[in-house]
Amino acid sequence: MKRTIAALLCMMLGTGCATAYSLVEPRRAPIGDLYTVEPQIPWSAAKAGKMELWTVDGPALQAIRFINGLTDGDALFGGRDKEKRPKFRKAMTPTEIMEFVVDSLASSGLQKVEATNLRPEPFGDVPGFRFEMRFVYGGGLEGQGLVVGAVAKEKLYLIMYTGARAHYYAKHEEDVERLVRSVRMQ
Amino acid sequence: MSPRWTTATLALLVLACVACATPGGSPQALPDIKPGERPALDTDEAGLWMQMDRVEENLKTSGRLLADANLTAYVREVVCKLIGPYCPDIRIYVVQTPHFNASMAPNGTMQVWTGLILRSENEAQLAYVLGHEIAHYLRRHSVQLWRDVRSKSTLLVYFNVLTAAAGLGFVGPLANLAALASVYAFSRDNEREADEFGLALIVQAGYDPREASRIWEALMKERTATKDSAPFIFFATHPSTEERIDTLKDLAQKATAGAGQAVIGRERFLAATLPLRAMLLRDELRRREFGGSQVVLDRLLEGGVRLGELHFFQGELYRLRAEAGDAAKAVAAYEKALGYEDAPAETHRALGLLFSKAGEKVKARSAFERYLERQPAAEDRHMINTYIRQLE
Repeated sequence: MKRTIAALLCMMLGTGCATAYSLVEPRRAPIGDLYTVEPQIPWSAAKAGKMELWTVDGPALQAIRFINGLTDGDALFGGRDKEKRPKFRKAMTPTEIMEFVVDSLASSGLQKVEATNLRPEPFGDVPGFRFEMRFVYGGGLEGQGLVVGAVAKEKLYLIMYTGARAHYYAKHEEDVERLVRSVRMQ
Repeated sequence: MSPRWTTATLALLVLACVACATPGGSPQALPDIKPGERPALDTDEAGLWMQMDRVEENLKTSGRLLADANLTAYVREVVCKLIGPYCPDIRIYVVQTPHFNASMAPNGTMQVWTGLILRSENEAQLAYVLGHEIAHYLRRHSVQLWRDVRSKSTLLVYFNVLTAAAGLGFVGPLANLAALASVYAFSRDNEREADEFGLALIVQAGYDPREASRIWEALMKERTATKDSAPFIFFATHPSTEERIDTLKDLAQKATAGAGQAVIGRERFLAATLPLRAMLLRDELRRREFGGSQVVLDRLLEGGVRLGELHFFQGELYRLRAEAGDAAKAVAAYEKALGYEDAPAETHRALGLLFSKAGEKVKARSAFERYLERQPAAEDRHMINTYIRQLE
């Protein structure tokens, strides 16, 4: 349990903790128990709890976070005060889920988090949503993100891609777009 | 006297020595800093400044910095009113964080947190808090505290070795505790001095000193509502809020006796801060400290400025808190907001979401349609149109 919390914190903060990464080859791979994706390039992957993180240059520069099946009352990230963490509710609309993601990222230490352009977008063959984000990392580096997701069987599934606006987000943006289009339900 | 009593008496005596290592809680009185002064390079104070220069360099690029030229210029204007000749020595950084705070480093770096802006009702209240921080800078409290900690920790090392050698090792932890309490007491004395000095600065600048205690009273009410545990006074770095309120009221009464018309500066304060208030309220609600946020909102509602915006955020508080009965309270607050012209368009969207969840399809659809009427180019219009179709 302690190991999971430590790994989650490292993944959340994008710090250089000694997280155990494994290589994901560019072929169809399962994400949790709901769907599969087909990456076009190799990624380094680490898992902790309901989150799986993929990165090429390190999570502080760019990362895909797969959030796999948050249930009612779950928080997106850990934190010191459990009561004050934003929590997912199964009845949330996409508008509220966007707010939940933004507030969770803000409480995790990102600054000036703003989400825009919320719109419907199928997640595999499930009705889903998509939005983009702008934010500033604690050190002042500007960041960018895209989030796609859906609520399936009352659980929340998200694919969140974030990265530094200078170079690193754009570097794998197209790979991520293809990966999102490759979502196939198991 | 029995050996047991001798040992205990000796222990108490040496303990008292450590706690009183610096008579009166003050290491060495320093003259106030002069305008344009920098400490000599071979002093410990210069070392402290160098450390703070590094912190300031990081602050300049921090993601928390609020790059709002108008607000920063306004805060600077207030600071310059308080201490004209020192004005060029102070750099102001407005930091976007929803907690009540301001700080002043010995090198002239002043941080003003947006939580303080949200909780101030007027310029006089803001000026008092800034004046308090400026007092720390002028009286060189940081270097005094640094020297106090250093002298007590050096003495403690010798003390612990000597007591251990004398077979009184058990006294060590007690001495550490006494020294720590003494450092906190010294810090509290500095805070008391800064309160007094800050109040004198605002009186000199023509502000109404009665506003100083009002901001503390509001803060105390907020702390009670958030159920945050108050710090144990023995170790608190600041005097108790109750003590500060009493002292400030007393000082303000003396200062205003026979004085002329004092400035509160409500209009100027609102002109500089209102454009940012919605963003600051959004930050405030992200804290998920709903009890405290309610106190903040109540004060703003009493102020009566832009009530549509405030009732909207009242609705947001209920919606996010989501306790039993909160959905109905949120609907009532949003509907009240819509009675004012300044209610944001998002009020309709929020109502649409709540009606939709309550199964009130006609009302939900109508609310979403009104949102799109007011914001035809809304970035989330495709999602809202989907909601409307689902309600058909």
